[in-house]
Amino acid sequence: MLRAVFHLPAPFELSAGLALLTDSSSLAGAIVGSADDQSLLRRIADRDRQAMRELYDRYADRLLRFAYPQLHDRQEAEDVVQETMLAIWQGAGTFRQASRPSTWVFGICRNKIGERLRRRRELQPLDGLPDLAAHGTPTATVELWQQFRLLSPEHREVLLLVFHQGFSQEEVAEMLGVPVGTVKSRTFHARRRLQALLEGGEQRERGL
Amino acid sequence: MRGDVFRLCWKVVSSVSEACEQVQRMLPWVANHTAAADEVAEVYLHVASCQECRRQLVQTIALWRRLHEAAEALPATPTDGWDRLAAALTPTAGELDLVLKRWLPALEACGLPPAVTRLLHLGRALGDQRWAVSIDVPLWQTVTVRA
Repeated sequence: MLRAVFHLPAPFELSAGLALLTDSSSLAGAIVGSADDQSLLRRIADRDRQAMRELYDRYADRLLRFAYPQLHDRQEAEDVVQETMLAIWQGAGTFRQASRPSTWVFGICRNKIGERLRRRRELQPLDGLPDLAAHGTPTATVELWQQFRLLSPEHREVLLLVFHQGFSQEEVAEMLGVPVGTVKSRTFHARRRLQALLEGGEQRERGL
Repeated sequence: MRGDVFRLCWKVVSSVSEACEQVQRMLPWVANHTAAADEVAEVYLHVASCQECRRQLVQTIALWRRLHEAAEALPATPTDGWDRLAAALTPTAGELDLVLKRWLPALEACGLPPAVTRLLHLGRALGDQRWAVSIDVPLWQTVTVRA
């Protein structure tokens, strides 16, 4: 994966954005999957519990933070993590070496989330569920999650994959099973909608 | 003449907006550091002369950081998460097979009667013919025999 650091010429007034970019580079480095995930999966296919433990430590928090903002229910999100890990344990032998382990793991997780959301739509609406932001978090974060839940499930999913999990366009396309162009378009609209919601609030967004 | 000028102006305006749209669709991956070097170069060359895309870039990076930090602040998995999972990872035929594979040569070296080891080898060989179900494809396409 190629990464580049660019130094803009002096006249550009991008200092605020670039400061954010450079400050955050360490965050991005931490979220990109490591190379030996493949060997972990091979060991898991051979029923190595220690390898499973390592994979759990590596992915469980990431998966929970991917599932929780989509499901708005911590218990359900934890159950999804457990189900995903069990599916990995049972299906590690079927992992195709050509694809990336992180893409495969998150692909399983998103299927589990999808199943839950479909089941839930039949049973209860999302509005009736407890709010994600009820954790004594700062006001800006509370507002972010309040607006985030107004997005469609597809928009929530793609924003979490790109903005939090740090996946590339190709990885997201592989995970969702759609062309890269669709991923770009969906992410573009999701970002614009969330930005509009955050700037204008829900009522102004409905009036647009 | 007027028509030509209009067409030329329209061509310039539409090519500019197409370039802006292309750049703005790239911004999330510039923000999350996974865009290719040539894509980053294209974005920065464009924002050098386009105020609107420059504003969008700054906004995207700010949103990326805000969402990333908010998600990182969410609670982690419970401390007993692994214990719950470990309890669910029951020994399977494959796991028992692995134990046998590891211990059979040692048992043979220790002088276990050949009839017993042959029986265990036979059991292992039969155990190898097990069914594995893929989670990627529909169930009816997934049944494969693992040698």
